[in-house]
Amino acid sequence: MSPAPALYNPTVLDHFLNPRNVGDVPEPEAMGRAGEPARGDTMRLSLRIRRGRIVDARFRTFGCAALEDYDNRHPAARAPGR
Amino acid sequence: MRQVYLDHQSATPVLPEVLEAMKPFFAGAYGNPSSLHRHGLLARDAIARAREQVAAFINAESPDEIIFTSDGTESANLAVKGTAAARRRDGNHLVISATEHPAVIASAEFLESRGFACARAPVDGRGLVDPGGIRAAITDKTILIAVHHVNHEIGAIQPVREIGALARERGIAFYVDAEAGAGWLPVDARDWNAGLISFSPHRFYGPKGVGVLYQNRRARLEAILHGGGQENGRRAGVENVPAIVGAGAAAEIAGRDLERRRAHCARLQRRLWDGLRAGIPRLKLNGPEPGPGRHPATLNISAELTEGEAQLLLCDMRGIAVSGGSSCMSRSRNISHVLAAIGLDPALARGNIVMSLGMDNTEEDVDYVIETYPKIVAKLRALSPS
Repeated sequence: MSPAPALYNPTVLDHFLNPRNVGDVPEPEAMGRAGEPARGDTMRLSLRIRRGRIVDARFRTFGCAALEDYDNRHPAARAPGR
Repeated sequence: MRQVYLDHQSATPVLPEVLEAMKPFFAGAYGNPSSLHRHGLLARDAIARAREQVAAFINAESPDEIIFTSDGTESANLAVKGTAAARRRDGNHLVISATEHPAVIASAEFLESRGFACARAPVDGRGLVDPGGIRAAITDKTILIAVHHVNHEIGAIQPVREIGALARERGIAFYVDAEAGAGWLPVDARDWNAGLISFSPHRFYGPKGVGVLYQNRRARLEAILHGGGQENGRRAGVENVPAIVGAGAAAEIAGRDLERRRAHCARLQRRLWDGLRAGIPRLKLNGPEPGPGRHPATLNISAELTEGEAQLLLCDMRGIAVSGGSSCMSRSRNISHVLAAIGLDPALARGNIVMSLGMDNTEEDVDYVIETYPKIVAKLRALSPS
């Protein structure tokens, strides 16, 4: 049998299997939630902000692999310093 | 890594005996069954034999009552649209259950766009159709009642015999989509009082590319595929001879092995459900409890705070093949109409997967799933916003 085909590309799968920046920032300055579990995917983002700059960002998500990859790599999730 | 295939409701492997029966009809006996020379007659005989095997499998009165189509979807389209076309003068109203397969629902919707009306009878929390609900939906214009034998998603076994008696009493055509149950549970054309019954051998160790529609001799049907006179004018198009031969072989074996299949899968189903339930808090079984009211091979479960496609993907990476409802990559992102009809919380409906057992599964397979799946759920729950 030929190698098993994959549903997603290796980068997406890597982020899905080894998610970065998961969790909640302690005492966040800002918190946002997008989506609705009943209708689709949901993401919750918490931010620590110092002097107008994001210094830490964490997410939680209920969704498919593509969303989890997106959340991992979302600019806000890679935000510290911006 | 152990490979555990738990998607037998989508497809089963073709049995070696079935494949052997099919093989001569690819390159050797390749004649067109409509041809009058010996090559054609050989193919024609093979189809006649398959028709007898399938008729015996469902206790039909005659092999002439069997129509071979390309699959279950075509059979459902023929049953619903073909009945509507044949009985148009008698009325323009259909009654279907709310949890029919999309092939039936979409066929009914097509008819609605052409001047028919269609009532959708509700189901209860376990997914059971109430014959009283069917009775209440009937009008003096009703020409067809369509209720499936076993639900394709949640495994609920419907009271088709009772609904068949009701349809007969009112002189209304009765169509049973038996896709999910055929080959695992008895299908009995005479006992059910059904004018039309459809099923597909790929769900019980036969090939894809062939479907069956049983048409009782008294059931009126108009063809929806027009062309040559194949299948006694009921379905034009050159017959898929190898697949039809495979359908006959698979039906004969299924008839012989039905009880063994049911017992084997029911035992594993019980073991799987007990093991998963013990290992995962907040796990919901959708549809009836394992037992006489449920398909013996399927479990439909929702693990709170997890999403179905993510579960499916992690299962696949650990060698476990399961089926999911809505997902980004599958063809529909909507919540299953079946889970909506039983009133399941939409978030749980999005966290839904289906495991369907087969004869190749063992206790060791089940134990591997019982050990592995809770870890998958725990991983996803750790990511999830509460």
